[in-house]
Amino acid sequence: MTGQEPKVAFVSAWLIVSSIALLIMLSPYVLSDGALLSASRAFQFQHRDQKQCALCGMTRAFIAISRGDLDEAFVLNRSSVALHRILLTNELLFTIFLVGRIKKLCSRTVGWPSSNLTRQQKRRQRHAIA
Amino acid sequence: MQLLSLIWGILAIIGMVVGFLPCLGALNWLNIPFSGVGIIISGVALGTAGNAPKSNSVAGLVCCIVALFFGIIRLILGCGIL
Repeated sequence: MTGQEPKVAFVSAWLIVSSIALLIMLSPYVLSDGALLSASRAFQFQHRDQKQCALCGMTRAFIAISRGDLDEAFVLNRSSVALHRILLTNELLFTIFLVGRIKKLCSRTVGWPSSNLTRQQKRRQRHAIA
Repeated sequence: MQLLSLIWGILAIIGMVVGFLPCLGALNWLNIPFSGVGIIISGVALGTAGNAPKSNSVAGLVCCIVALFFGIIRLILGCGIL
């Protein structure tokens, strides 16, 4: 096992998980509320002790967050807003990573933007042109 | 194939951890076959490795076996639903 392979494996796994998380986060914007609730009904179970678990009301809370109603989301599930923020941060990192990779790929294949120069070198180049 | 088995193992472990959450035990119905496929892939990777280092496929195999074993236990504890 080379030192790079576990890193590649972890990054690949993170990319797959982030893509699934992105689909989950986008689903309230793409699908109708009724379709989402009927799909999530398959995962509703009668709890033996009739108590609500940590994830009860999460789908409805995510729908409320997609409408921008954070108060309702908090009432439906207390941890929904925190979970949504964690997922949002992860998706931000995912997007930054993807943009970086696409930039690197473009600079290798098309030669734009020139990634070989550092920011300081680019600034010097701009000053020289000016 | 070696890298794929390791990625598969990591995903199986992530699935197992998510399946441990309350109310999400039913996820193990998906994760157990997923781990089974991972074991097959890791086995093939081990078999075709030859003299090359096999640590990636061994790690993937161990992850998939752990996910399968704990997934079954979690499924039994949650009565196959919770």
